[in-house]
Amino acid sequence: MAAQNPVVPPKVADGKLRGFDLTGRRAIIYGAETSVGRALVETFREAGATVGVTSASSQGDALFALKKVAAGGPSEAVDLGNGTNVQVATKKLVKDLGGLDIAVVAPDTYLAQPLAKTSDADLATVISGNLTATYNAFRSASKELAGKTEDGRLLAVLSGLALRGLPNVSAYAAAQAGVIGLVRALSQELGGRGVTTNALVAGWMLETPGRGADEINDNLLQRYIPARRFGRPEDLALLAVYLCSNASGYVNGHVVSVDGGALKHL
Amino acid sequence: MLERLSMAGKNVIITGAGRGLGKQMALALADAGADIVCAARTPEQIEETATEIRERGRRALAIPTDVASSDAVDLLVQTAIEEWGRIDVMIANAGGGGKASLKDVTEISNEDWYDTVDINFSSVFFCSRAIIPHFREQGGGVIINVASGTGMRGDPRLIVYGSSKAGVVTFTMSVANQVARDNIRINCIVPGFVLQKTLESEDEISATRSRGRFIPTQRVGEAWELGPLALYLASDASSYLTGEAFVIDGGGLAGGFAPSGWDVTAGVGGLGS
Repeated sequence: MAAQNPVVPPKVADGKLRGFDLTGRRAIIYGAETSVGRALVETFREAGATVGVTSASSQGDALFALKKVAAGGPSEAVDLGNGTNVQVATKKLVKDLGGLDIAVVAPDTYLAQPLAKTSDADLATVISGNLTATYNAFRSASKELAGKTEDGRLLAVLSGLALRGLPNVSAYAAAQAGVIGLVRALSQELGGRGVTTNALVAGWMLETPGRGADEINDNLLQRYIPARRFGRPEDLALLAVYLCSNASGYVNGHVVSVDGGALKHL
Repeated sequence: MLERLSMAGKNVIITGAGRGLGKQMALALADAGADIVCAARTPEQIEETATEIRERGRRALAIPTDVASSDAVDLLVQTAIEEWGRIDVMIANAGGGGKASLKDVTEISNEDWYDTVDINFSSVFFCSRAIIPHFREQGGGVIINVASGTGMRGDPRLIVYGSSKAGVVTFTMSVANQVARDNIRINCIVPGFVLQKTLESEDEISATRSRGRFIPTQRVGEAWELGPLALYLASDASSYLTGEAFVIDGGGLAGGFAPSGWDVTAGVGGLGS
């Protein structure tokens, strides 16, 4: 069961800092074949975690990228929209890892299309690739976490479109925003068992398709960001480590945006 | 990547550093290599924090300061810079419930109002105004303000305190937009209920557990839990984070639509037929 007060501050491994030590902790990163996924895997390992990964889709390109990001660690090719598939992959990875403390999902099935042109199939794909994917991963992972670990962690890595509107991204924005509802609900449902659920929202990234010119004077989007630069995967990595450590148990249901200030404009 | 967390060679001012959250933030930053200027009204308490920091092999100064006075805050910053040459991080943590707590809105006097606003909100403005010229001159810096969950929702017992803390959140977002181009980051921490002292008696532990039942994590927060978060926000690990209100409240604000423990599986919920 969850810790009760008083809570003993966790000890840390040599040379590590409290809140940033994942020594002995086991993590699955779902949908890891992106640049953000790669940064998370590398940083979690640097912080001492044992990491398994899944792909977001089971198509050819994704599999190649998955093996690369797994770097010899356990990996499973899945279609995250398929609940059974995710359940089986989770069980296999948990067996390899010897248990589970952390599940991170970075869903990103993107679609830029006007409302009127978005077909039933388009909508289903985008909902499945973002909302259903995260739901499936959290559901499978929570069965391995709840009651078995005092410091279970669920973390969704999302886009700023989970929080804000833009024209021609209705399906993606709705699906990503749905994940925030999921995070808030699970924070209430699982919090008492020592499992926290949070979301990390990324701002405009260097890798964002269509972000525009490299030179800031030619890039209106870049000038919109108070920090006047695009985000990089490594900007998210240490916050993810903190949110998945055994010292962040009182951060629950929070949606934190790493955005160079872009979401704090009027 | 983990080297980004290092605070070695960085100087930090923390107000309200004599106890509770401020003290724990000070110790966590010192553990990461920072030297700390401890400010608060009570000299004995900040001396104690300073001693613990020195025991960790770091430098510490204790400067008694009433943060509700802009002159005192200006002097704090000036003294710290004179002593150590530069300051890299300013944590405006000091605050308090004030005399307006628990009163009916019509019974809050002007004095109650201004006292509470000054200690919780004006103090944050004074800290930023005093340190930003220095940060601009040296090419950057970090500000961390401490707000409160009472600044995000209504609490009839804490009308002025909550309003002041809401001000801290908006101040943080607004200033973040203004100073980002000077390489200055400003964020705030939004704590929910957090224990400020060590639990000693069985009665205290039992009362704390009862309170914890109203929080989704089924426990209240403890002051040490603010340390790692402050370290993240103060260090280069968070170099792309600004204007953020970082909530650490066990999930209280993510809920709050029904009483704690409300069971919707009994068929309650949705918009109805």
